Amino acid sequence: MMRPLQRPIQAAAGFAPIVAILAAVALVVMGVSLALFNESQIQQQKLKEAAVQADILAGSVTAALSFDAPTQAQQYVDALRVNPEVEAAGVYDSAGKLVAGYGQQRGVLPPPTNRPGPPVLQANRVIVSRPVAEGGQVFGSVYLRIVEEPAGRRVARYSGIGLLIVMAALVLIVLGFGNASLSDAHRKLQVEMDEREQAEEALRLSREQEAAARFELAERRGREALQQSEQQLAFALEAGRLGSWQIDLQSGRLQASDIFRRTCGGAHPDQPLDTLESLEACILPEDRETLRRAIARAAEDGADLEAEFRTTGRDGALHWMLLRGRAADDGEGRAVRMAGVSLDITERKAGEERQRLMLAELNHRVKNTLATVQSIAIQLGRMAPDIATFRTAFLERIVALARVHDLLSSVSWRGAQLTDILQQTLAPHVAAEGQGERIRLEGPPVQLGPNAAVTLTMAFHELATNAAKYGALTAADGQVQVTWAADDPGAPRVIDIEWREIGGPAVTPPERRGFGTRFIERGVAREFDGTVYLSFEPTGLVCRMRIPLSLKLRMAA
Amino acid sequence: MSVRKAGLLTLMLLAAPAQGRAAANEGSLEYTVKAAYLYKFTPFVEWPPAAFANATSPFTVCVLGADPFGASLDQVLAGHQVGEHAVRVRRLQASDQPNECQILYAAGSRAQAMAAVNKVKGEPVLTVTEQSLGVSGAVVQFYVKDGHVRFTLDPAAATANGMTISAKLLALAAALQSGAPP
Repeated sequence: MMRPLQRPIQAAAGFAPIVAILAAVALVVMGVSLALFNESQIQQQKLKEAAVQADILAGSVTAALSFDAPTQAQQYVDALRVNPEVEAAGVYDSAGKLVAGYGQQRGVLPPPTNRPGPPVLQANRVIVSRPVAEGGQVFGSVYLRIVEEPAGRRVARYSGIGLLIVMAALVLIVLGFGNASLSDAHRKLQVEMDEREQAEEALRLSREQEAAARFELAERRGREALQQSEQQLAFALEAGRLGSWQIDLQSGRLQASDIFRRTCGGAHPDQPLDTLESLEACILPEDRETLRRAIARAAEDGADLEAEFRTTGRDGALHWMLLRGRAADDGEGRAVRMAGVSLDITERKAGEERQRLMLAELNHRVKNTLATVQSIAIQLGRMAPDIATFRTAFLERIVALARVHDLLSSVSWRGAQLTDILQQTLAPHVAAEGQGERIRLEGPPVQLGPNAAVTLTMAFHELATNAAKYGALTAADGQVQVTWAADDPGAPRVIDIEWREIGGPAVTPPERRGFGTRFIERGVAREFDGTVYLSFEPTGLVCRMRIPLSLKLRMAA
Repeated sequence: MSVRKAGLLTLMLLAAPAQGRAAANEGSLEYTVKAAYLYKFTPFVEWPPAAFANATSPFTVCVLGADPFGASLDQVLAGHQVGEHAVRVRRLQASDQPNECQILYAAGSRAQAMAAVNKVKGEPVLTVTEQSLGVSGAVVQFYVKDGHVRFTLDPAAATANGMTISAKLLALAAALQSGAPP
């Protein structure tokens, strides 16, 4: 909105040239009128002065005229000679006869006789005749003829005044024209000033709008930046599964984000989480002191707060919570507020536990494996006739052991299916294209623990090696049939496995029990507390194993 | 006719109302002029109101002692007025009281004139004597100079009698006496 002009446009001041001319004419007319009036006044004044002088003379010569003292009368009359304007003066007795008198110029004398009468104006002269009286008695009269100011001098005087008036009129005219020009310039200047004022007002408004726009833009950018920052922070917190919190140490009031709240439900999840007490309520009692000490230490020495404790989440599950933060003081060193982030470290804690268990499992496996290797080496060392035989047999079994290790490692040592163990053990001894015809595996899915898998792998390795060297797999049409049955397929406690070779060369019972036979019988018996029965039937070797599967053997070591 | 005579005659002709009647001798002319002067003094002298019994009481010109004017005084003053007061002439004896007089001409000897003047001393009476008598205390004293009747004035005596003499008359008297311009 435009601001009202501070100085309204004024009407043109001064007067127009025509007014100046009229004023000049009026001035001249006024001057002439004044001159005429002045002339009239001067004449009236002259008459008065002449009358006064005549009265003075009359009063002066009263006694002289009354007591016949013409000399004294003449002396009074002569006193007027000092005034050059008194051209002639005379004193007359009661008969009107001249008693005393004089004339300023030769030949200019008062009249010989005189009678009092009204004053007369005559050719630049004032003639006054006044009676001489005292106490009501008239003793005669006086006569005065006074010359007015010469016409030339008067003309000169009025000419000077007239010249001044004309000059004043000219000055008025010049001033009028100058004033008109000045008024015009003033009007133009006023218009320019108004326009400039309007332009300045518009510029000011524009600057104000620009400033407002800049301020609004900056404010909007600030809000956007803050919003973006908050979004980024929220995103980062969300992505990092970080919760945020703030505690007023004086009031104990707690402000917490949703992520924080998820990990803190406590015994009463519906209770609001808005105080430090409500936070402690969701912490396991044995961990509450941990948080209290951490808060007290951070508030006391300004150290970073870091505490790990367990909480009961809103889902009712146990959560591990990591709290990090820092105290803020009131400027005088007193901690008044504390804020920070929280992290649900439940998975990390579980991972750490798994890692610890894995390390223990690995240590156990290594020990078992070394024990197995040691047992193989001892058994082979006793039975091998020479070192070469020992080396070959030892490497074969080490390879088998490594293979089952690979199998178990692929499933993180969580155990293996019986089927997979058999296929892995038999596959190296049968061409790939004939495996479907020469190997027949049949039985329900049985999950074995790692130790059981290793033991059975080594046992099946001995059987497969024997079949490949001496049994059914040496013949083109020989077959190995492995069947097993479980008392409870879903959770077998006992497995009966039968290894049967058919189609191979005729079998004759060995004269002595070799390493393989003993390893199978002792290994299975020792490891599973089971039973192994080997039957060297003429159609092929048959090995029957009854393996009691404890939970340990099914699922773990 | 001497110059002096001519002056007196002129004065008489100018001042005396009865111009047509020429005086028979110098004495009568002189006193005729003086009689006229007695009247001419009146416009230049201010008497106090107490000098008159009432507003219309006569203005009395008294001659005490031997009358030197004769009939001329009556002739000169006849029919004249001073303001609202008609002028009259009274001739008094030495024993008379000049209380009613406004102008007292003291004639006779010096002693008589002196006594007359003293008699009205303090009274509003314009006392007139001849200078030649040598009487002091009179307001007006006539004398003749160069054939003209002149007079001296004693403003103190006038003031003592409660009267005021016009400055014009005083100035003329002083000028006439000294011969200097007024």
